[in-house]
Amino acid sequence: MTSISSGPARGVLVALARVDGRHLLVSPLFLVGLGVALLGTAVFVLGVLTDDATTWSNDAWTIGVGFFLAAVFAMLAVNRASLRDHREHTGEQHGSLPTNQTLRLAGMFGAVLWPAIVSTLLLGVVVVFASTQVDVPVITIVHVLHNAALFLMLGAVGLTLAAWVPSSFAAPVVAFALYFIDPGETPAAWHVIWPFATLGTVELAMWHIVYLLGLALLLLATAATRWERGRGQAIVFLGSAATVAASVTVLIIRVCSQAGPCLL
Amino acid sequence: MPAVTTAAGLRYTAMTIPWHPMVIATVVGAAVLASGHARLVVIPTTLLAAAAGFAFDDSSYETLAASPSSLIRRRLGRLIVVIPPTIILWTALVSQGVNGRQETLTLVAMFAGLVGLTLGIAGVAALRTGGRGGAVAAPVLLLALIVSAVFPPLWRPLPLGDVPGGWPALQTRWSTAAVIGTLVLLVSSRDPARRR
Repeated sequence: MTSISSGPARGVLVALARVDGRHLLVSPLFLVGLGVALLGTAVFVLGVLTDDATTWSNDAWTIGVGFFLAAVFAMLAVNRASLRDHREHTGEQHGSLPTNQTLRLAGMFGAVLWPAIVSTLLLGVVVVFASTQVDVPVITIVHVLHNAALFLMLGAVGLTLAAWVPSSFAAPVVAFALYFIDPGETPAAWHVIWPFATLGTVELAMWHIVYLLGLALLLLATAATRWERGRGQAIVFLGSAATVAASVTVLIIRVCSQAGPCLL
Repeated sequence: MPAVTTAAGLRYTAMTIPWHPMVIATVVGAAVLASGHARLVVIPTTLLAAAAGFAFDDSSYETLAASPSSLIRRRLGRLIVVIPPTIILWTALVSQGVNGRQETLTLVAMFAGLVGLTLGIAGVAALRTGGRGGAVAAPVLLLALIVSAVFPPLWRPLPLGDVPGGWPALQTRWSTAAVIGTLVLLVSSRDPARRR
């Protein structure tokens, strides 16, 4: 049994993030997600080894989809972990602990860093391996970082759902929606709001990461308002909303404005 | 007297079933269909099938495990309560967007396959989670659809789009999934007390 010492809020937050992060890493749902990511990677590697015509730009989408789906499964894992009080009817007991719900929420968001880091490192290794076999464009480095931001944003989705819709069916509904719905074949500027959008230039890809991180903080602040509505939450809410608005504006203005096709 | 007992039994069974997944699936499914994309009919189909997986969720699972009523009988009672509203809601949702007999048959086979698989998964998961397999069923169903999509269309076991062979091939594969799911459910519903 792991004990968490009482003390300054930051110390408790780090301890909670560490404990829950370790639990997330070994949760079946996250491991299934990693399996899906490796399945997508295996399809690409098989293509590289058996077909000389395999290229990064044409065939590496299986890796991207695999890691996108891994992030979706991480969202399910985070949601399930966040719902344990609800599921086990331990809300009252945990209410007597020397931490409040907002701090536990922040701790769980910190825990999402673990799967985000592990999957991003794994994707980095895959990209390094692929670069020894085929030409990999430089922008892929930004897409690897995009993967970490995607994990954090979808983790925040899982937390927000657990806070406001405490049903173990809500997160799977979102997962099915993310799996089935795609913005469409013809690129359009509004597609940048889709979390899985991969942008064609380094600058736009960086803006999309800013958008995802802003969205994560916005969702986190929204989740926190379930229990507490203080000045801190308001500042985070307004700051993240402004970040999301600014990044989406930049993306929408630039992604289809230049000559040629949209940079999606 | 027995008829009254059965009706009362079903009523009390209905009271122990979590209905919120079916409500969520119906509301989201209706919203998706209202967006006007006929091809998205697969979303309400999948969501309602996944919601049916919560049929076996029972907070009194451990208590009732020692009752004279066998596991398969208890599960049958829950299915009698859950399946009819699931079918009615699904029919009401998707009936507007379907054209022709073959398409209808395929969609029915797909729904049966998804429900069968979900119940099979939930049946196995309920044994391992103390009667709370519903939350496991939906992610496993999603995983099954993802893994199926990796196969080439000729061999895809759970096809969501066109495959060689057209409608008959789609109907055969989804019907097979329904049969396999039902068999898994039956095997998982053997009473634990009678297992060696």
